[in-house]
Amino acid sequence: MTPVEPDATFAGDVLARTSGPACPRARLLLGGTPDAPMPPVDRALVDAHLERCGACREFAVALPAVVEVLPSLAEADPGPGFTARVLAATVQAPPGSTAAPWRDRWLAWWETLAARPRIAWEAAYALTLVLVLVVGDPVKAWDSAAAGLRIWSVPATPLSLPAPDLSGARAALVSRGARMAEGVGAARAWLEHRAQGAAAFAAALRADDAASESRLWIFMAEVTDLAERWGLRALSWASDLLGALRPAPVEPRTTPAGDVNPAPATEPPAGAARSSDRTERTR
Amino acid sequence: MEHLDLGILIARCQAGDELAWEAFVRQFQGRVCAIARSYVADRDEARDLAQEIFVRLYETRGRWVAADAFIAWLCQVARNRAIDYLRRRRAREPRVALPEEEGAHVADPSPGPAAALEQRSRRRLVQAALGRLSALSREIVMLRDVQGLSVREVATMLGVPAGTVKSRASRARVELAEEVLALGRERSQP
Repeated sequence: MTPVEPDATFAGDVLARTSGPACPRARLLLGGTPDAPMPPVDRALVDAHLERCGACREFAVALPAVVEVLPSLAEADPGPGFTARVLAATVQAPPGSTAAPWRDRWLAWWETLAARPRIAWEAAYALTLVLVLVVGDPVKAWDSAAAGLRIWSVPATPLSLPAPDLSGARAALVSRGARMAEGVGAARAWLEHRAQGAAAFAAALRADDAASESRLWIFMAEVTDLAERWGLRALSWASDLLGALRPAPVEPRTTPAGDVNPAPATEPPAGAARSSDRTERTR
Repeated sequence: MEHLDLGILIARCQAGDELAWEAFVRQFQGRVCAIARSYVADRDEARDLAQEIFVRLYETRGRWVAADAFIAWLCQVARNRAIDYLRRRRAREPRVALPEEEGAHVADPSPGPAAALEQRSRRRLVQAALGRLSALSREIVMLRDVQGLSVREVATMLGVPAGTVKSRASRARVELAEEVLALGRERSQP
């Protein structure tokens, strides 16, 4: 029986109903060979495909031309004055100004960090978690530290020593000694409390029983809660600090009624605030 | 300008030789500007970014790597700086490459005017086609085929396996050639 030669579209029809056109495979093989020879079998298959496919023939001609152009794009003309600008920004800058001042560096760092809110948040969270695990509730720690400072500082009321009678001075010293002892006791109690907490935490980590585990989870929940609150507060402080470091734009004040009011600020001047602070301290 | 030996240039720059730094800037400004422009579409912005990259290089010149690994390291520094720059601009991915009319600014030391015109026209076409690729494909073509880094260097830079770089590079070349053909057809239509 004499084989019948199918028409030109027969193979295409079969491919369309089976594997789909072979063009992507042929192009992928062509694209992967700029620096390595194609295996002989692949080469033969691709050549056979190219004989029948005009689009891939066009592609096979275009691809080497494109790849040949690519290395010439490695350099771009920077335009006039570029070298001078770079040198002015580096070696020709005034001594000490090559590196940005600490404020600019800090602002740039913060802007970079702020551009990655997820990373910033996670960093603040992790740091706060470490802080809480080390020192406990920062509010309590701060209060304790402040109390300790108050105990050890000069008493708010100056000692008055009547010349002949030292009983008042003795009483004041006794009172002060008692307060110091009380402060030391409070500090020791706080440290013991933290030590117990740490020991309980370590024991809960080692223990397998459900009660310890539940205590551990409660403890971790408390820590997480604190970390979140302090993370938010830390971010708020950092933002405030950033705002304080930025030079404030000069803008006319607007009253609630909508009038532009260039009147001076309503806050008392800095000197007044300091004098009131002094009054508070001497009281 | 004849390029100096890179190892000597690096050593002189690290020693604080200002002439060496100037030569370094002149030697690498084209490459750094090309990288900057593959990330930032606007020409002036790309210049600013390229300048930032050089300032960063100057500030960290004590930590430069040896000459044999320097080009890959330079590309890495430029890429990191470009990504930081885009982040600051809140742009999440590399932008389209050069607009077509700016393709004429590409450095071109071709010999004759006719050859130069032909070459420039092809480069414009390829550059426009590069701008149509996905961010990853464009980056791989830029690093592998334009800057000539090895598969291993690109893989290290992008943090992906070498096999991924190979397959992605093949696919990116195919995409690029297809875009060039499509652009050519679009332009030949009245």
